[in-house]
Amino acid sequence: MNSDFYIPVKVTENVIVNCKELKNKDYFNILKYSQNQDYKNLSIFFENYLKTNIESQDQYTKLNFIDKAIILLTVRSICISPEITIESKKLNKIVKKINLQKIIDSLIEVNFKNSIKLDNNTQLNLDIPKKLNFFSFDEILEDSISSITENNKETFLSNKEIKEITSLLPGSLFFEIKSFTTHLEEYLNNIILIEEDKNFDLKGINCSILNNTLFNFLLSVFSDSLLNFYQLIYIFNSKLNTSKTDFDNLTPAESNLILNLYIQEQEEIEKASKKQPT
Amino acid sequence: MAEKNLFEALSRAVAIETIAAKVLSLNTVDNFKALNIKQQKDLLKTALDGIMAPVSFFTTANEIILENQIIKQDLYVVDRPLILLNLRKLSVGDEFKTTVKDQPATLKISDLISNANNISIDIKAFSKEIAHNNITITTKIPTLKEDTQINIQLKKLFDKIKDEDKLKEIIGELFVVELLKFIKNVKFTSDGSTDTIEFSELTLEQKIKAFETLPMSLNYEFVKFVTEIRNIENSIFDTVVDGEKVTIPQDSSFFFKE
Repeated sequence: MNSDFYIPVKVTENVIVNCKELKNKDYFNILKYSQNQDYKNLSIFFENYLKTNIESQDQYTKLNFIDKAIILLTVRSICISPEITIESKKLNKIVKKINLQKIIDSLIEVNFKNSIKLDNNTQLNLDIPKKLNFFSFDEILEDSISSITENNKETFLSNKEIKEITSLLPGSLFFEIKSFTTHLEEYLNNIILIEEDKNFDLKGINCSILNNTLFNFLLSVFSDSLLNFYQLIYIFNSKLNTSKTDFDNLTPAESNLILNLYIQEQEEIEKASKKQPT
Repeated sequence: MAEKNLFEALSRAVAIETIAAKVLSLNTVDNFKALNIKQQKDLLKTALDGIMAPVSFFTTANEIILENQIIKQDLYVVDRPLILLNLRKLSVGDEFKTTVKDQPATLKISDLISNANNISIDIKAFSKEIAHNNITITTKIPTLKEDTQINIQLKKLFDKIKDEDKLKEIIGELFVVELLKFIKNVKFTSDGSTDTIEFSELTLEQKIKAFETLPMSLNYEFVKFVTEIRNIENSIFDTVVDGEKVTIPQDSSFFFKE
């Protein structure tokens, strides 16, 4: 382990993955992509963030999209805030708070695999797809191919290798893989992360791959006001004399903590100045 | 990451099956490899190509047939239906589910194959001259390679057109392009000398322009010739169920099963 601070994250199948904190620099980019509604590049950004911040590359290559969502939600919970807040338009500013840990706990339980026997020694293993979001059913199908077991030795496949394998395997297996993805979609549709709540205009959120529901949920939990973030940068730079590099290396939660200390200090100074006889 | 010998082991484990299919133009029986997952996916994906879906389907089918042919030799568009039936039977199964008189029906692909195996085609007989006054069209049956080349040019032409109204206008040209595939050359005779336009040397746009200059009476004879060939091709996908003629679609749905 290098000198960076890592957060241990429990993903599916009781695997622990170490992931670096989410820094202001990363969060700033996320907010900009969100503001521009550039979700294609935001999904690439999330993938790159995970690839470069997970300690073990071997572990990274094995993560499915549920694992990736767990890591991102954990990082969101620790480095930004453990709750998401939804305001009701109907109930005059009544606020609903949703604890991210509950959602993470339900995702950790997700498990769905299958194998197709190719001969007595070889089998093709199917698993939950890896990509965070999908643009076609075709992508889901290909991404469900995970590994090959030959003589009890499992070999995980890269995207390039999966493409090669689809040219080797008979077309009849296409329908077995399609059947796997259909059942997987049914299974994931039944995993409810957030219940529907009409008072908050909140639709129920499940883990559907076909609708990219989990990815869309991630987008919403990472969305915030870009303007507020610019104000934060301004305060750190002009009032706290923090260098850009130092600010970039803080987490959003740390920045808010420091900002609150500063505000508290300013309030105390103001109080003290009011008490002093003029 | 997988090692090279894992792929070799995988190839051994799933030794791709082959099927012997009659090649009508050659009057021989040739072996073809079964579809792989990628090819199966490519065929199904053609359904997403909107108005170009039929062109995409036949382009993909041509490429697959040529890739899966064990002994490489020229194949013609008239060979395609029977080879597709055989590949479908091997890779997806012998049963094809459809609806006849609003009732679900299951057809046997092997029955269609048996019928088609009785067809014989003399490819040379389809190279003939259709003349009117001083203009002569020399006809041919296109090879799968030629069919693919024109389809690719056609798709490029369509991709350039973004305007929906213009696109609707040009759909009529799809029919013209199908006809063009069957022209070897056009000869013009005047004052005792003959000029020949070899269609293989023209771009698609030039072919369309040249075709549009041909007189209607010549066109009529030529369309009759092409229809005769298309009827042979289509008849291979026709069958009769309970006295009702049923045509199996030659598109991506033929390679799909629930």
